[in-house]
Amino acid sequence: MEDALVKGEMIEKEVLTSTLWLDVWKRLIRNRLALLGLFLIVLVFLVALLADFIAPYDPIKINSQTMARDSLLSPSFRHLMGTDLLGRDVFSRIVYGARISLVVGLAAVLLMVIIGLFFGAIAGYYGGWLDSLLMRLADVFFAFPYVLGSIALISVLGFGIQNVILAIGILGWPSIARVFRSSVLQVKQSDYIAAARALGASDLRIILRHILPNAIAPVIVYATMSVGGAIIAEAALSFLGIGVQPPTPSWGYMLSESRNYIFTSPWLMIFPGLAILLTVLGFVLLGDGLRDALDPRLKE
Amino acid sequence: MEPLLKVVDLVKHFPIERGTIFKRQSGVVKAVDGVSFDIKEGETLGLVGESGCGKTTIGRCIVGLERPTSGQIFFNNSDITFLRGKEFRRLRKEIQIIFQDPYSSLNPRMTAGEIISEPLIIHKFGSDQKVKEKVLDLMESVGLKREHYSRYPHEFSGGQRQRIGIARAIALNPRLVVCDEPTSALDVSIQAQVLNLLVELKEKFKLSYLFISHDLSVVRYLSERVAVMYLGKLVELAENEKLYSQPLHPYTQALLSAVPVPDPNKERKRKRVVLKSGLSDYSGVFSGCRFQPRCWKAKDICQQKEPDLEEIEANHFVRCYFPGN
Amino acid sequence: MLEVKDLTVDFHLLSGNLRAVDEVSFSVEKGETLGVVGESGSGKSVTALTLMRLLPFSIGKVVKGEILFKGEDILKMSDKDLRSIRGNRLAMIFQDPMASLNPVLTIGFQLTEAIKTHNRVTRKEAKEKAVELLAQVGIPNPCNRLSDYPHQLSGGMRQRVMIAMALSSKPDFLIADEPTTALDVTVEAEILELLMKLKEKYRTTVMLITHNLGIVARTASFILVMYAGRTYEYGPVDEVFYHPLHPYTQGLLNSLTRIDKKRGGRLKPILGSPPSMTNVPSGCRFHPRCNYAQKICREEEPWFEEVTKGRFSRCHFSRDGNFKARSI
Repeated sequence: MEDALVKGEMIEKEVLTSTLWLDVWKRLIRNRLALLGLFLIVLVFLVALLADFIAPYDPIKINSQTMARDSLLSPSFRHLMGTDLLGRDVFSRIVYGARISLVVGLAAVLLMVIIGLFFGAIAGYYGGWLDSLLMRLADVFFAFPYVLGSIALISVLGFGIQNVILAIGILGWPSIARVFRSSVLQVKQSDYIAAARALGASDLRIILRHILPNAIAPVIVYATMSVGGAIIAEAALSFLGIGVQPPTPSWGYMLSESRNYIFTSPWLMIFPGLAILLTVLGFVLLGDGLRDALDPRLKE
Repeated sequence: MEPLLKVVDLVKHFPIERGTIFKRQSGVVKAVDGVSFDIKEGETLGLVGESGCGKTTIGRCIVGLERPTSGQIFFNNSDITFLRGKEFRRLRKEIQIIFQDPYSSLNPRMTAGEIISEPLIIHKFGSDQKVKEKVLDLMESVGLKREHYSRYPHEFSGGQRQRIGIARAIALNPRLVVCDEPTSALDVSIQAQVLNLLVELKEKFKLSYLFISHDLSVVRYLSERVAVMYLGKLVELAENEKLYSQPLHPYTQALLSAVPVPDPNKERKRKRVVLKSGLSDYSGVFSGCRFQPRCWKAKDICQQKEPDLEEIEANHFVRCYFPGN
Repeated sequence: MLEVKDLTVDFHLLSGNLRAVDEVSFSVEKGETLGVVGESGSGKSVTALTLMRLLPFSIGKVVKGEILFKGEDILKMSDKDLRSIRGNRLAMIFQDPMASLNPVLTIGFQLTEAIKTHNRVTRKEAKEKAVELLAQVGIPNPCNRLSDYPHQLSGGMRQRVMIAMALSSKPDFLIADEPTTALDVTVEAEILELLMKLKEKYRTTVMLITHNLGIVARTASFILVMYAGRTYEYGPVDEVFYHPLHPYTQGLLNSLTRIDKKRGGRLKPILGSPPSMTNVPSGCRFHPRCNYAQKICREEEPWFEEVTKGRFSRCHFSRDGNFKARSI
């Protein structure tokens, strides 16, 4: 009886610290480039969250009275990044644009990851004809030009930010599925999978409890980098006019608007371009750092 | 008395496949090619052989990790060869396995406690509290400390990891445990600890072992009976003492004479049987005895027809036309 | 022939520095076979790599010590001298022959290359020599094997090829690092036999690194026992096996399962497990596992000293043999 009490106490006291992820974190913050990436991402996040406080002007509203006067002003203290044709403050539009880019980037990648993990797990774990079928399907998606695919999907689904997310997510899953599948195939060979099967664990349990936690690392890396890709995809679609619709501020659409004023008002192009560049760079650097930090070969 | 486990004419062939969508079979590896033996309640049967002889595959077939190509496996008198679903799951409580590699056999993302409690959770042992108590008991039985409960595998040494694997295997009070080279990845000074633990647990929990190993000295220490395997078939099966003092099959003789003894004087005096270098072709077609290409005793008949596994003396089975000296 | 003095090697890892080999000294006389025994982390393989100066620069660094090979310090040699000595007079074979052979080149190419770097011979002569060497190491149909790739050979055959390559320069000193660990027992016996036969023929001095005491008993004339980066016992094989001075050596011998011992009774294992090299015990590094540890063992590290002529041990009690039951 006493023994049981001692045991109970001991269990209560336990602090479960996942040292594995702690190790990853330690290695990550030792990598300067990864830290820079993390910094950029945090910055963009903060800007997006605090847009209402940061932006000095309304990003959307056009003041018809002052429009002519404020149109295409070059950067100054009043307008840090100048103004656009309709007299709106570019800085404010970029600040609010961060929201669109992050929302689209993260949501699209989340969708990608959900579909990709599902199909990747099935293909990798069960193998056989299911694997062949899913991977050939992935090949078909790969063979399809991205932009063309998005245009086709959006013309079916209609305009709107949620459809942009849907299009990017649906077209992006095959890479995630591929990455996860090969990772699953590797993990599947481990004796602890055999041990779980010998214990009578169900397939679902084996996949969720044993395979997923051990096979997810490459997907995390790939997904992090894909956020950058998704942000670019959104920008590209908006640039083409089938993405986020005006007047919502989107970096891609802002670039598209700047086309005619490249030489006369270059700030219209430079600042949205920089915003895209730095955000994408942030995700790619972080992804790269994560890959190194998660690589078990570098552990010792 | 009926044996606890009875393996009858077990065959496992692995197809060699080519192509991705339209697979075609381009050959077959005969990993296990007709093996029969039994294990009595409370007995340890040693299964020895060199790498690739099929001993591990036999173990995996018994535990249900591989499906045999043909043959039958009886446990407690019922045929368990092709069980599925619920029946299969129920049997997991009776037959368990301990793996060779203590690094690959534990999920690196689970704590020792989680790993050992997994069988209990799968088979609905009881409340969380009950499971945890049982896990702590098990940890004590295998010589782990309580504070090890929440540590991850990489924080343990090889020997301790193997203890975790053993605790997981005995958690459901199985009757038969397949030990697949459980000590060969461990340091010399740790091997003895784990072997002693296996002996202790066998007495405490009334276990039977199928002890698979390439190490003849480990098998000698542990087993009541020993089966020697060569390229997918048993070549000799006898009681421990008999096999080591009077090996009858030339392959067994060669194996025993090859094992180094940590005794310089004995080593100097020993005569070694020298084998012709082996053709290690497992997919090839054999004519006659499969050991014949390496055997110094081989005669014409050995090339023509494969000998049967015959009971030459009481409980001493040999597959050879010219057994003994 | 070879004299190692105070060799100390540090490893620089992400998790910090560790001392893999700590003040290791030993010598090997011409024509002898030294068996080096130790568990994982004992520093035996690092010592071997350092002898060949094959330690990767990025992680391993020799802190101090000398390696005198025929009176010359290998550690101080220029790269050019080193290249000529490596392979020519000093050769090494490794545990995993697959990793040391280039998978995309034929056996013949790799062997003739090795011959050509050490001897001034024509292509044709090198090829003839290669066939001769393969025949010597017991490879059937050596002519046909020249065009084989490493993966087409069995593990034992690959190790034979490695031995042939090592022999291509008739080395004076051969380091074999666990040469048979990856092989089956029957093949192991063949390879060991081959090594010993060639040793006689070429009068090579051999340093054989292994974890298997049986192999030492079979092949070696002297034995060096290593533990946690340090030397613990050294002496002629017979004396060490029958009258071990150090409790660790005794423990190792007692914990073995033996093919010549009847079933029954329990093994006498050594307590605990080898220490992690990032956290080395104080005093005698073996004291946490020793059956005879006293207070002094925890506080003071014993010297590796000559107990009787030609026999060394690192234990406070080796000299008087006054071992008392563990009291800490």
